[in-house]
This record gives sequence, structure tokens and C-alpha cells, in this order.
Amino acid sequence: MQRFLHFLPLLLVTSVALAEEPDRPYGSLFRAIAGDSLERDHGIAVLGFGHVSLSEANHDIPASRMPQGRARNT
Amino acid sequence: MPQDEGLNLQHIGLIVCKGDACPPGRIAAPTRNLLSRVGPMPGPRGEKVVVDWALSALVGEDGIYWKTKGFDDWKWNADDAERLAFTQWYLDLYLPLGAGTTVLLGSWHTTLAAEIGYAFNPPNYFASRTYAFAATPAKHVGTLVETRLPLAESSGLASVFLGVTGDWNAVDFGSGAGGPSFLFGARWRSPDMRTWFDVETVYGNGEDDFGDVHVENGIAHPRGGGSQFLALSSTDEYLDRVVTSLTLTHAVNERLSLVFEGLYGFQEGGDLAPLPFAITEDSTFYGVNVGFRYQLLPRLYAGARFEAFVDEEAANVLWGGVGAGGGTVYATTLNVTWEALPWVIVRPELKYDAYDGSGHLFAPDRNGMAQHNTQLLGVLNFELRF
Repeated sequence: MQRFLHFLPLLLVTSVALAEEPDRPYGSLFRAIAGDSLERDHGIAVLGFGHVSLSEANHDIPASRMPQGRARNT
Repeated sequence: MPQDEGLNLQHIGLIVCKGDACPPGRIAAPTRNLLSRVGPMPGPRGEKVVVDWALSALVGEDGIYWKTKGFDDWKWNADDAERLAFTQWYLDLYLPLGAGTTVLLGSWHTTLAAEIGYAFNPPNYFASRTYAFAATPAKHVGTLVETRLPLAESSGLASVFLGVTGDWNAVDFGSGAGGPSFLFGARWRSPDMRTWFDVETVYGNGEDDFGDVHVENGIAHPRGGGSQFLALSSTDEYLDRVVTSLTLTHAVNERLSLVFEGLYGFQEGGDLAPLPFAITEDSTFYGVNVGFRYQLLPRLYAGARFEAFVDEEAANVLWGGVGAGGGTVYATTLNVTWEALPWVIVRPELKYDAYDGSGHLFAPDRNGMAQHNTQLLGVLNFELRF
């Protein structure tokens, strides 16, 4: 669980940034930190994405080699 | 790849991109009349050469699936559950040739199959993936040229493509008699862009392009990259591998979308079997899946997907590697997608799988061998956008 706390500052900054432009979530963190001139003037964007999943199966699975059964989502 | 049930960081990543090399619609609407791997778009041919590019990387449990053999399949983190992978790096050129042409050069997610490598929703409506997705390459290193066909507007929009790449998920071009792999196919879009049809094929030498393994303290750790098919020849014989995907999607109206996918694959058998799941007989795998997504409320969707997939000889290591001997798997997936916040999509999902065949396919024990033929899986997936 502790590893997820590392991303808490990122989420806080993102949520503040998105309060100003809720329809443009991708790139909001970078725009909040560095401004939007790179994107506006040069068409260069820095987009962030992530997936976190809570999984539970009916079997006790100590190890799985079925990525499509484990919410693989890249 | 051991993974525990419970809370998992699948990945967190960044894409640095320019122009139309950025995932379409995430920053701006497409400016070209043809997008690499996506297909033809409405609009006139551009008159300028455009050079766009993208670089993406992620870290998480998904990292192993997006590594490139010979590039970032490092030994030093082979025993980590959460790994760094450089998922894509490429130039994306638009050329005013013919009715519009694109050239992709570098390392990029494959164009094959209905579901795509990008972790975005849409078009990946489900948190889990199809069996068809698990039978295709994840990415290629090489070049892909796509050109739009000069159809009359009333006939729709169409393009064809040809790619020359290395082995599946690898930077090299194979060993021994190895040569490049070839990607080719065609796309058609209805004039109103509500119906999309894609037929895509990858053909090449499937000999000796399995992912490498790092052994530490007697434990073997897959390094990521390479293909999921282990076929070896003592004489470096060319072992044919072909996979063809056919995808049809249709937006019935603003609320309801449908998808159909068919996939066929073949791997020629080799004559070496250093591991039990090595492919020594000619192997065929194929399947279909259908699905839909329906908008219930402005930020709430419901979806369902139904699959049948056959791997006759358990050629895929995801089957043979857990002791399955070949058969048919059926799967039903139901989910709800809730755009809870601009930067968080919440997807509760249920998936039921049933396997009919030799051996078992689900719930591997600590010895790595599967113990069951059915599986019910619940997932609460959070997609973060920032």
C-alpha cells in the first residue's frame, strides 16, 4: 500500500490543475508545472496515464500466468 | 510472472509526443487525413511533409509485457514485480504522396487486433484483455508505411499498409535463417465514420524469438520481450508464423457501440523441446469475440464481451506454460465504466472463463501448474489520467 502513497502528491497537483480545465485531463499535471506554451506553440505534449486494480478470484491464486485474467491493461 | 491478488499497480507512465503522434483526441483532433495504425480520417490531403514523434515509458507490473527483447529486457530488474519499460519511441511522418501517406519508424505498439496497446478508454472498454490480444505481438521495431486509397467520398474511406519489422517484441531480426517480419493489411471506414473494418496480418519466422530468462539463485525470471511462442530448430530452419486479425466495429447510435473480432494464427513446429511447452507440432489457434458498450448516463457506461478461443496444441506459453494441452476457452466479461472525476475512471468488472480441453488452464499452483478449468474474476480498475 505504501507504494501508492508515493503518487499522492502527483494526484493532488493533478486535481488542482484539473479544477481549471476539467475537459482536458491528459497533460494537466505537466501544464500545471511547466505551463502550456510547449503544447500551444510547438504541439508537444506530456501526457500521464496509469492503472491501479484491485483483483479477486474465486480460486486461491498464488501465481498467475494469465495476464488477460489479471486485469492486464497496458 | 508471479502476481498476487489484491491491489496491484499495473502501471504508471508518461507519453511525450508531438502533433498527430499523440494519441488522437487526447490533446487535439487529428489534423491529417490518415493516421498511422488508426487509418483514414475525413478531410483533404495535406500538402506539407509533417514530422511528428512520440516517446513513452511506464513502470508497473505490466512492464514485463511491454519490454523489447534486446533493448530494455534488462537482467537487473528481472526479479522485480514492477518494472520499467520503454513502450514506444518512433518518428511518425506524413507525406503528401498519393492521397496521403504515413511512415512510422522506430518501436511502436502493434496495429493488430481490436484492442490496442495504449491504456486508454476508449477504445479499450474493458479492464481485462481478450484471448485474441494475448495471441498477438505487443509491439514491433521497424517501419510501417500506410497510404490512403483515392476512393470516391460515397464509397467511404480506405487505406492499405505494409510494414517490415524485427521479431515480435524484439529489436533484432532473428537468428540463423531469421529474417524480417511483414505486416500488411487494409482498413475501410464508412462515409459517416460509424463503421470501421480492419484486416491485418503479421507473417514471419517464428523460430527462436521467445523471450529470454534470467536465472538467479536457481529461480528463472522472464526478462520480458520476445514472443509467447517457443519454437526451435536444430538447423535454424525457417518456421512460419502467421496471425491474421479481422475487426468490425459499428456505432449504432451515440449511445451504443458494437465490436466483432476474429483471429487466426499458425505456428510451424520445430524439432527441439528444451521445455515442455516448446512447439514441436504445427499449431493452429483461432477465435472470435463480440462485445458492446452502452451509455446509461452522461458519464456512466455498461459493457459486455463474449469470447470463444481455440489453441489446439496450447502453443501459447500462457496455455502450455501452465500445463494445458490444448482446447477451447469461453469467456464472458461484464463491466460498468464510471467517469467519476476528470482524472479517474472507475471500472468494476466481472469475468468468467471456462476451459474445455486437455489439462487445466486456470489458477496455477506454486509449482506453476494450473489446477482448475473455470475461473471467476472480479476487478475494480482505476484508470488515472493526468
